[in-house]
Amino acid sequence: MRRGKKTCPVCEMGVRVVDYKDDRTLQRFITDRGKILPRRLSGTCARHQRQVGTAIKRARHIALLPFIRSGA
Amino acid sequence: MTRRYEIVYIFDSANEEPQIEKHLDRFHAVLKSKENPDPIRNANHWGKRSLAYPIAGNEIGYYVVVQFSTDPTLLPEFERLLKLEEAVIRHQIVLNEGEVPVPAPVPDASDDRKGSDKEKGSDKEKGSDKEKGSGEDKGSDKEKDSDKEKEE
Repeated sequence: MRRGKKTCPVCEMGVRVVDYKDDRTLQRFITDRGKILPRRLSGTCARHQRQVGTAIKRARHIALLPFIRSGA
Repeated sequence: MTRRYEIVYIFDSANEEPQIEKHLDRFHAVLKSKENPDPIRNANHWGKRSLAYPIAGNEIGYYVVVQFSTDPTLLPEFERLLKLEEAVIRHQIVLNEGEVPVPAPVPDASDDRKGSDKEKGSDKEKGSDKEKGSGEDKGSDKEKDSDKEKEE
């Protein structure tokens, strides 16, 4: 059985540039511990994975997202 | 040459709004120049928010997001001021790539079209968007198409 091709969730949202201030959306792309999800799991396309990665790092700096959540 | 930037300030939550406005005015005065007397394009006060992790003992911060355009040579002085000010517990300046520069308006294009561009208007307008759109968008469309073909 072949699984259907995953489509990029960011492409589906129709977003042109991932916004680092939109912590609710970025929350989808991090683990419970706060790590960035790999493409393998998030299904994002290469361009959007780069954008998501940068956005998460920026959001961490301004304390919208945690660097790490302990005891999750 | 001026460039567009976006800054996020996180103020100590002990400050009240009038104080924060004062600080902002003082900071933004540095960005003014003869060619660019009004650098601030948009200021958005998010207000108090809880921080994802404590910064310098603060659990709550007052967020202000400001879009401005200024000459890059003025930024070091601007950042120096921010670092000296203890009311600012954190700041982040990024190039404002969020907005795509609006293409020169076509004379017969009415204003309502601009709004629909953002909200993805009707199919007709979408078509015209594609014509105007940059190569990037077309590229992603092609990628999608090829993906579909693979599935088939």
